[in-house]
Amino acid sequence: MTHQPVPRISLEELRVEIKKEYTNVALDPNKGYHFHTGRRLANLLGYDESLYADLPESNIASFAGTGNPFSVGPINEGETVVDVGSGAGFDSLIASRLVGESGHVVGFDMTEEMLKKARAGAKAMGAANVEFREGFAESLPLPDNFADVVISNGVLNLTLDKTETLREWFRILKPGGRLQVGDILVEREVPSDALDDISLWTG
Amino acid sequence: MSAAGFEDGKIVHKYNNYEGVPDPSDALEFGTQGISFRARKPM
Repeated sequence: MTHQPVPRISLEELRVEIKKEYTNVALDPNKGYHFHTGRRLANLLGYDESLYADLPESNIASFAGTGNPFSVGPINEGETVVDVGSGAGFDSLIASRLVGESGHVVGFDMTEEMLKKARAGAKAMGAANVEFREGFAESLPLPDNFADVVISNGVLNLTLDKTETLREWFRILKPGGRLQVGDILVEREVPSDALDDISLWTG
Repeated sequence: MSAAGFEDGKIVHKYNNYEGVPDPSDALEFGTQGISFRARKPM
C-alpha cells in the first residue's frame, strides 16, 4: 500500500474510463467483468448475509467491492459514516442500518447510474439517514473532522495518488476516527506497460 | 497510510476474489488480492 506506481495516464482519462466501466456494472451487473459482482462477491468477501438481507436485489447485484469494511471494525449506533465511492449503495445501505436513526451516512460516487441506483435503494428501504452525493475520492465536499468512520471498498486503487487521497480521507475524519477499507494488494511488480493499461486500472 | 497521518494501520483480511472471474485480466498474474484494512486518525 506504500508503493506508488506512476502511470502515463491522466486523472481525467482515468475518470472517464472508470465511469464507463461502472455505468456498465450499474446497468448490467451480470455481464461478466474482470471482477465478481453481487451476492457471489459478497460471499467471497465474508459478508454476513444478515447485514444485507433487507437490501433491494438491485443494490446487491451491482456490488463490486474488493474487501469488507465491516469485517475490520464496528460501525456503531449514532455514528456518522462516509462511504467513499459508494457505487450502487451496498455498503452505505448496510451502514445506514448499523448507525440507526440517530446516525447518518453519506455516500459519494462519480458515476450517475450508480448514484441513481443507490438513491432508489435508500428510498425503497425507507432509509432516511443515508444520502448519496456526487463527488470524487480525492476532494470530498465535507468539512474537516466530519466523520466517525470512513469506509470505502475498491476505490483507493482507482486513484492516481493514493497518499493524497488518504490525506483527504484523514482530513474529514474526527480525531480518533476510524478508516475501514476494502482494496487490493498487488504482490508482484507490475511492468510499466501494464501500468499504462487503463483496463487494468478500472478493473 | 502513515504518510497520510494515520496510525495503527493493519491489513486484517486477504481474499482470492479474482479467481474464476468471468473476464480474466492480467491482474492474477501480478498476484492481485482483495484486502480489508483499518487505520485510525490520532486523537
